[in-house]
Amino acid sequence: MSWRIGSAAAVVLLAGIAVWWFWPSGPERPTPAGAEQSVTRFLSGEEAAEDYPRITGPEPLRFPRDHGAHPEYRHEWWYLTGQLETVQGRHFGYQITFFRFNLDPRAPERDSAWGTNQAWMAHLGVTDTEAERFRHRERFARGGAIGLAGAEVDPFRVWLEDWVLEGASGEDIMPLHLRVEDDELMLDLRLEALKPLVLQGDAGYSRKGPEPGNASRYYSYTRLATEGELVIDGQRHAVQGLSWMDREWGSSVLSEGQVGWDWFSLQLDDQTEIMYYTLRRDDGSVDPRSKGLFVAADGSTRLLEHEAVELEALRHWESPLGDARYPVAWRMRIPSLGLELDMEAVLDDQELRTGFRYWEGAVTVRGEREGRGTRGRGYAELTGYEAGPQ
Amino acid sequence: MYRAGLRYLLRHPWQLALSLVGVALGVAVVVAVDLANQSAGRAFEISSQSLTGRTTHQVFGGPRGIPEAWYVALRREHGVRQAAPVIEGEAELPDRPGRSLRVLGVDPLAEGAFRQGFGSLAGEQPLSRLMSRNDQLAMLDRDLRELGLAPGDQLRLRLAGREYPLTVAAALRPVRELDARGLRDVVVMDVGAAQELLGRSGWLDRVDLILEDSAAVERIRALLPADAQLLEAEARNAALQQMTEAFQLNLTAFSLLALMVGAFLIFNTMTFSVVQRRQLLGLLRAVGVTRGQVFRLILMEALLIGAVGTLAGLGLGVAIAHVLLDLVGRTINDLYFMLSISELSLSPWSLGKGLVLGLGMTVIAALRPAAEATATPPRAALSRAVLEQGVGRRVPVAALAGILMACGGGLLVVVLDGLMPAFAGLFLVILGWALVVPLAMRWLLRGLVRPLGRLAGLSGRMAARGVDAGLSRTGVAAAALTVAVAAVVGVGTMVDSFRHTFAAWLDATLRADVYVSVPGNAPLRPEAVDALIATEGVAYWSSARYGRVASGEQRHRLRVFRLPPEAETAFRFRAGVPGEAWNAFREEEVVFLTEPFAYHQALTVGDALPLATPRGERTFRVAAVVYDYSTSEGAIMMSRETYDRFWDDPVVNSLGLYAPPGTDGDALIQRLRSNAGELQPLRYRSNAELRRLSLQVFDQTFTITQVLRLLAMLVAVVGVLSALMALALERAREYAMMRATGFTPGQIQGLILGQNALVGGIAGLLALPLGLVLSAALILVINQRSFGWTMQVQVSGDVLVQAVALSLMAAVVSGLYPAWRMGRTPPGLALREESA
Amino acid sequence: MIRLRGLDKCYREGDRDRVVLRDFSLDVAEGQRLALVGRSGSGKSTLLNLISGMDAPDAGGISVGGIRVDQLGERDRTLFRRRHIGFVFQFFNLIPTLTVRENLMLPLQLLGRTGALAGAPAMELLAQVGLADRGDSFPEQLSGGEQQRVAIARALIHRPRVLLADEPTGTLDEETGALVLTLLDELTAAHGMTVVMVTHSPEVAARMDRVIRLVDGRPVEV
Repeated sequence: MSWRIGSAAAVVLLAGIAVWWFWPSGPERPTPAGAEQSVTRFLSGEEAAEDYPRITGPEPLRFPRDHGAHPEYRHEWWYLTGQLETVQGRHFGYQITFFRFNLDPRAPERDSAWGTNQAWMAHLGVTDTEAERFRHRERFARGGAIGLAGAEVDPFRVWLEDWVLEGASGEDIMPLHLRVEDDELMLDLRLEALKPLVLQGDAGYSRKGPEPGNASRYYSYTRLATEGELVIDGQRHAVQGLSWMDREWGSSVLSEGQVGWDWFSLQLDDQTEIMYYTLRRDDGSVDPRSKGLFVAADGSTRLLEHEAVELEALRHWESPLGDARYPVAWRMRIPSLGLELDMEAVLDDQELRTGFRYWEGAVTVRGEREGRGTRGRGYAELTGYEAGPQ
Repeated sequence: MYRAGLRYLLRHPWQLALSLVGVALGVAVVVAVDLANQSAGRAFEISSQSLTGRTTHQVFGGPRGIPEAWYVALRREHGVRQAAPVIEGEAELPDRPGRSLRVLGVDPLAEGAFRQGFGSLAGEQPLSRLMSRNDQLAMLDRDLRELGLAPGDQLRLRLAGREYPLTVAAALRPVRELDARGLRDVVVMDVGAAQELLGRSGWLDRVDLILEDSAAVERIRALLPADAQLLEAEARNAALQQMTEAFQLNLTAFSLLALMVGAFLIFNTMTFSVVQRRQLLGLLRAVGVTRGQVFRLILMEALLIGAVGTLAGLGLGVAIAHVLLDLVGRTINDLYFMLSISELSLSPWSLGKGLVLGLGMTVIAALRPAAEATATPPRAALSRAVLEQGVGRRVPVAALAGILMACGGGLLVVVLDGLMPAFAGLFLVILGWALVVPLAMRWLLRGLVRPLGRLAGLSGRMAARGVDAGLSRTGVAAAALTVAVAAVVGVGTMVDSFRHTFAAWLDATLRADVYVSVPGNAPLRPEAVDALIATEGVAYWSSARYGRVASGEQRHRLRVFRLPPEAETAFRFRAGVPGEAWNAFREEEVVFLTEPFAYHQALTVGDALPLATPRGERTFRVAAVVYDYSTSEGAIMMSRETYDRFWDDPVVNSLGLYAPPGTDGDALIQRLRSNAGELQPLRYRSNAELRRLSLQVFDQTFTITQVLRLLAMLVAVVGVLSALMALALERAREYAMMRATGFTPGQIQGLILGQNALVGGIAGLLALPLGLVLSAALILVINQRSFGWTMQVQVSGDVLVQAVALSLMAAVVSGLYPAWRMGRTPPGLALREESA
Repeated sequence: MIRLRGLDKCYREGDRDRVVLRDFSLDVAEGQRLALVGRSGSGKSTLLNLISGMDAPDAGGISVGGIRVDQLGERDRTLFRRRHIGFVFQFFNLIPTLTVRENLMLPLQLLGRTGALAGAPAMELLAQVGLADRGDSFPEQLSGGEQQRVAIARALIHRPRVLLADEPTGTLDEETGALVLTLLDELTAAHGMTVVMVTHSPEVAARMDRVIRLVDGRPVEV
């Protein structure tokens, strides 16, 4: 999931300019001249790519080791999205991601605990469907021995300053405890896996481009029972619901001609889940490496190839910044599963206007499976829609 | 009428030029000092604004700093996000000796809200290396261009004694001009790199915070380590700047002295112009010009001179300020803190002050002559003799007023506390004495008539009486010269005394044969310490640890000494009983204070001083106050034994190594080098070298004082030149008549030079008592109050002789031109000119 | 006694030269008392300056008592003046910083006579001009007439061969002027001195042996 954001952000961070450029420096924040140009330049820059290890084929994953960080790879993330409701049925969507980046694969050993090539970024987004509000936050910190951010196993723990996702020791890290607080925005959630983790792609080997090393390791928890508390705009709500967790790491970069990415994670009422992404090309076509996964109620999985899925945008929404037009309603057809689903954003504006812009938001799902009505909820991630020098 | 006035001035170009130069110099010195001071202040403000940014509070630790883990916990456990770690240090450019850069180690990811100026990095290089490597830096674009560098280039820097080839990762191109100036000579590095290059791994110098309300402040305060303190950033900057206040006030006072001498000059010129035109003025009055108009005429003339002189002075002041700026900056760097004053800020306020002072002084100085001019009766030409009689009557009155003024001033200096009254009093003393000078001179001259007559016949008498007869002129010139020479004597004696005291203290203090430290005051590695003290030829050793310690809202210098009993004699006690005090120093919770510290904090033996230690706040008893001239800020001294009981900090900054008598110092240094050289780059200094270097810094610090002293003297010489030259020229007819009687040109020249020598000599002699009083006040009161140092007054015969010689020379030199002119002009011509 | 031959003298005034004396020749016999009259600026004072060696001619010869003044250097001219010339001006005759007696002693002292050698003649002469009691006064304390009497005394104390007087009574009232002139007559006659006096007053001129009027830089016998 969302490798596009991670890898793009990684490149931006590699350039380093993002570190400075993304600063929330208040109303007087200067716009550095030439920043746009620098970003483009760095986006296409790959000078250090060969210094990172590559993922070239399926390999058995080992836990709990692989729940922790893989600092030698360019990027990695722990990605949680979820649907929450109060007892009264008031709906909220949330997203929390811990991104890890290796900025300098050939960095020397350092004496100071601050010296590290590991940078961390975290994104938090909360959608208040009823109030039609979307709030999001962004944080940066360095990793390394200084301990401001990092990931550990035994027990499992991922953190960026006081934003923490914790779990148990050993191979099974469940249950998880997420605690994230920023001014007037807070999540305090317990998560328990209702299904075991599933390996994406070929036994966790997820290929993104024609080049052999352009791939990542990818596994997911597709159904996590969730309950806890949520604060938005200072209001506290007791909530429960379902979450989805993605884990991915690698050193892949954008392939030639790939411009953007629509990604969906859907949890249906019949205890099945669908993950699907399309890679959009600059000529308007869909990259054949787009794919997905169907998880049956019993936890068994089925790979969804690009040809098996039809996706059509039904409605678009214009970003208030004026330079991006995102689809916010879709029709998805998977004939092999007898599925026909209509999806729509619970709120049009779920755009994260952070240093790297993208749309990540909760959607509702209605449709039929083999003739029987079905409903569900999910998350969509849309990237590469902003105009500009792509 | 005004045309007549203007023509008069233009027809006496020498006189006009000299008074213009006098005013210009006086104003220039004041403006230059003020500009230099203002620029230093402005540079400090701009740099602290840029470097403090939006920081509201700062956390400082004990002598070692703040453990970095405390900062991490602040963010991880307590969710404090408006916090930024800072490492500070100094770097030198090996290619440009003497140029220091300020190193600031920050966490770029934590900086966002703090220092806007850093949000402007631009460059081709991957900035990520700033964090992942320790050889990366960012600098102001302007500084880089000046060094001929661009991002990607290498810059060699020396940090903590070691030279590193560093890579310029980025240029800072701040949007705000303020930042572009405030970040000059600043090297920005990642906190990790700064830690490594400055030897500070594990520690932070401070943590900057943005705290929005008192609840947030209290929250942080509750989290502070025991020996740390939370200070308001603004208050801390103000306290830093305040340290230089006394120094800057001293400079201002010196500059006002120059202006005062300039005022004498205007007074002199205007008086002279009135006297010389008494016939014209009488005529004007006869034609129907009112007294008021005459008054205004003279005042207008003075204003004209004042305005032109002041304007020239402003220009000259700006030029001099460029020189002074460098000196002021160097002194601040030597005495107080690192400050890069790269440009002169032409504050309109300084220039305006110079303008007002220059014009105001001119008007005040011209009031008396203008009033005199109105007293000219119509038609009747006021004779010189009558005028001199008037002056003669006023001389004793002025002297009486002067004595009263001087006494009042003296009282002010002694009785009231603080620097301002002391300076005000000192000025009254100077002014008072200046008023006494004419009378004193009259008495001296009258006493000299006979001896001189015996010595040189009638010529001798004529010389003495001539000076006396021209008292309206010579009195003012002598007074100006007296003040200037007194300033030379006073300041000279002060510097001499200070240097003498300082040198004696160095001799007493620098007892070890070799001192070893790490450049930049970084810690000595323990293994280096072990190697050094085990070196053959080291009989015993002392160690020192320098740091800062919190006490209430203040941060004090702390010096921790491990002293063998043999080294105790290096400290001389101002208060306290040595035997007891030394025992207590080792055994009890006791500190010694240096004299300036005790003075500034109003502490003495027996008082209690609370210090923040890692074991909480502890109260230490003051067991002794010792003489110390190393810092005017002052310091607390603590024994290593006591320190180790409270602080968990084994760091040593310097070692003093004592060898048995007869040891070859150079050979010892060689052995030390070979034993410890591999372990750490160290600086080895023999006590003689350290003494020489210390005195070198001392002399550098006082360069500015010497420059001001010279400038004041220059103003005085110009004043004497103009006064005595005018007098001689005025007497042209008298000299012509004497030539008719049979005086040779040589005799006339001798007479002129003799008269001037008398003025110079007497002024020089009269300057000695004032100069000594001045130096006593400067040493015992002003310096004591400014810096807290006790100094031994050291009157050097050289300074006194030089001063009188200087005065004599100035006066004689000012006689050269009139003498030369008298000798060349046929007396007939002189007679013709004046009767025409 | 005084022999002037073909004297030229001009002064620079601004950009142009003003001719004061042109080819001026005159002889004055020993003991003769000559009055010089003429308009202001006709060169009367200049003539006195040339005779006394205070100024040098542009051309021509000056001989006083056989001494070629025009051929003397600056220093010798001063010495010549010291010994042979007495000078009385209209005003500003006395040195303000010396007492009356010291003023009188000055010419003698300049000739090397000090102490009583100078003091005694000074007192004697002071008595002769009727100011014996004013010896310790400073010139400014005397009236104009008294000052001129002292001036005459000082001009004569060293027995010069020539007395040059430039309107000595110019600023005095008639009565005082007459008194001063009488004194001058007496003292010079006693020693047979040659006198050259510049005057505007016909009465004063009339008292002299010979009157010369200066017209266009040339002498005209009256």
